[in-house]
Amino acid sequence: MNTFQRYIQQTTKAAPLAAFRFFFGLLMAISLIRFAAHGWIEKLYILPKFHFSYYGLSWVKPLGDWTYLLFMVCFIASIAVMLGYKYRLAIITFFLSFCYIELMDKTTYLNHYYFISIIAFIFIFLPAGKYFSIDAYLKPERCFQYVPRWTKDILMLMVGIVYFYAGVAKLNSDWMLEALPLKIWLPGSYDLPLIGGLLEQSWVHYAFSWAGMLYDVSIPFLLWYKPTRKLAFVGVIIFHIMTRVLFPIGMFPFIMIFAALIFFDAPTHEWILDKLSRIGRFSMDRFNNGKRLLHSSLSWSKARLVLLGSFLVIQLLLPWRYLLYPGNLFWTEEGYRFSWRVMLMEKTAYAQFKVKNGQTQEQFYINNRDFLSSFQEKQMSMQPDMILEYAHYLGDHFSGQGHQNVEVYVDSYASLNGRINQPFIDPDVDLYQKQESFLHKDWILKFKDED
Amino acid sequence: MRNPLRYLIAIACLAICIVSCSDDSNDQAQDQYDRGQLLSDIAEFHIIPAYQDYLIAVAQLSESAADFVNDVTSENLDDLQSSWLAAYKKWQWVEMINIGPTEELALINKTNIYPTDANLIEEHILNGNYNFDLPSNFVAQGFPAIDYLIHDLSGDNQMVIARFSDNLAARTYLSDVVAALVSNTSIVVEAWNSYRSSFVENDGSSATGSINKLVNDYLFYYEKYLRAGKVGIPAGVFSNSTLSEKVEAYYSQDKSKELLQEGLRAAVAFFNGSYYSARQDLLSFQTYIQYLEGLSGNDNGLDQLIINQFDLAQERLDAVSDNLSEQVDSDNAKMLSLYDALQQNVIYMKVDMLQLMNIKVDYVDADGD
Repeated sequence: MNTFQRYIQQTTKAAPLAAFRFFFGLLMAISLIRFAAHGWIEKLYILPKFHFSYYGLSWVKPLGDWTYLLFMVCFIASIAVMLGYKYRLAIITFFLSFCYIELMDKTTYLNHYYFISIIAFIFIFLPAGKYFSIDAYLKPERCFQYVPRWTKDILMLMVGIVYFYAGVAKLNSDWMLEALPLKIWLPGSYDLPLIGGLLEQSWVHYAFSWAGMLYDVSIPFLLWYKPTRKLAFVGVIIFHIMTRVLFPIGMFPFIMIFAALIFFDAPTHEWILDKLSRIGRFSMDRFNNGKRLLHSSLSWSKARLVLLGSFLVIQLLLPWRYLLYPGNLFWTEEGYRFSWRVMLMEKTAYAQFKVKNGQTQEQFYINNRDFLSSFQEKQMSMQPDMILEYAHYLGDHFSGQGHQNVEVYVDSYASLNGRINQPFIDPDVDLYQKQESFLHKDWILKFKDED
Repeated sequence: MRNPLRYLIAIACLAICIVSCSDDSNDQAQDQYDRGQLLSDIAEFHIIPAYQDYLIAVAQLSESAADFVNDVTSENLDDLQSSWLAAYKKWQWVEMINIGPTEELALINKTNIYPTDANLIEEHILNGNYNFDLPSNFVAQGFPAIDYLIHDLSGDNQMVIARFSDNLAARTYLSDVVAALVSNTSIVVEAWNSYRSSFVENDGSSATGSINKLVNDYLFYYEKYLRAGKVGIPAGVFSNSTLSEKVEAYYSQDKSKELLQEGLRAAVAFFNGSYYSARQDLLSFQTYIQYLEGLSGNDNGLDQLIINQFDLAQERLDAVSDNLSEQVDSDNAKMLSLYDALQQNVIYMKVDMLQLMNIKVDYVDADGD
């Protein structure tokens, strides 16, 4: 047997995987309730007339009032994942419904939603329902105290990739040399008790920038290395609580704090699960049967390994795709998403669209709020692919109203990290004639940096 | 160790305490820009005095209207028209305020939605049955409705006299519109006296904080009411052709520029701190921008760029005729160039100023832009 085969055959306690599954399901359920309680389903998915789609996925649209049902399905699935009830069906349902929700409107893209989708995808292929689950409780023959070691390692690797890439993304001159955008953001929390005044100090901006970068690149290793693990986890808690206090970042900090628990060894998780079992008044003995779930040599198992392996390679490569595009990444945002660029830049933009009759040259400007929500307008104004999609929507809308020879232009300006605004999209290009693709958008004007 | 998590949580709590306590000893509060003072200056020297004078002007308008209704003479009509204009001009100084009681009562919607709906007004006069609190009646009340009632497009006051002298229902409608204006205004001005302190105290950074709200209101006013409403829409910027009948105070014919002048002056004053009751050294958006630029170490001189742009708009406004409607029809290029000057400041304020001030547009989760 070669090293790889030996590695694949190794087993480890199932507790870490089961604990991860439990908290993942729990946090998802809480996130969904919070989302609904804020009225965001209606605000983000029901009220807007128009929704921004991902390239090639324009068929994924909100379902009107059925959208609530979609959220309900996702919620029930997350509870089932938490409890480990009909696990495989539950996690597949969760993955599909959650992805559908996220793909309905690009406006709401968040890296942490992407993280959740990825984890859910990986979870489909992991034996996370074999321990501390209703499934295992009801069918002892399906209960295993030990699972293949790689199933835990792959989660550690994925969490590590998120942190490390987020840190690498901070290695740019604005972040490191100018302490931007923290210089703009931190004073915004001037009213925090105790530290409000400090947040206006220049040295604090630099300290936060550097500490944030160092934290992100080093934390996967510090969590992985046993002697530093506990201290690193304290760092995880402090870091994420700080981000929660300073930024409108939602559930993300809690998700990452629980995700980082995966780095701990089994006794920690066994202790947690034991506490939970006491709350639930059931005995852990039922799960601790000493059985090992071995890697089988079935072709399905091999296919699964190949699939997850390729998936990880894609994860490692995808954030670098921006190198294939010319121009400043923050300006063009070509290859910006799906790359763990979190809290990285402050960009504000303004886009005023002009609909023109190409023959008579008659023209008029659009009031964006007639078609978009304020949140959609804000996001669209600074992201070229959304500008293009909206331009097509306007073109179709006015052509449909009987306007002839419709051309759509945009006067747009953007400001990046406190630089004075500059023209963003070429105002002389008829966007209605431009098609979306993965190729470089040559109608984005060049970013002029003052120095 | 049987319970590592408990141990870890204890360390974490301790660490957080240490971080917070060490910050405590380092009190930097004096260095901070006093946002409470900014709000207090705006309330004390702009909002409150401007509202009070506006209320007096509205009361004067009400008196003139009563005189006219009781005795339909051309003298009383002149008097009514000038009281209407005086109050309308005072209104321009408070139109950018849409917070607290003002917002609750929808004062702006009940005071200055134009073009007014002449057909609806005539219908109301005929049935004598109307409720000014209904949103559908926003277009049949306030200054634009009075404008329609007391002016004739021909400029001939005798036509107005003729319309009122044998029409009790029209006189009643005029009285009712004015009465609603007086009552809405007094409720809001009265409420501001007590709301003022919570307005000033709400100096936090949340989306519902006064500064956030005020900046958003100001930009909304500037973009939608001043730039678009008073200039852009009549000049046909948002339509296929010019819409000269959509100017403010359309029926008075030549008062539209005067009102715009006043509105622009108020917008500038609100920005640079030369408030309604001007004093030296008041805090304003301008001083706030200067402070924030100092913090973030950029030297864009954004406040001066905005002021210069206001000056340019003022210059271009000086070049248009008193009757904006006529200007649109005769030489719209001048209106369009005025629009462009106003538009440039929308960009400075909505892009650069919003970014610098960290103003939140919405409450939704974000992980950076």
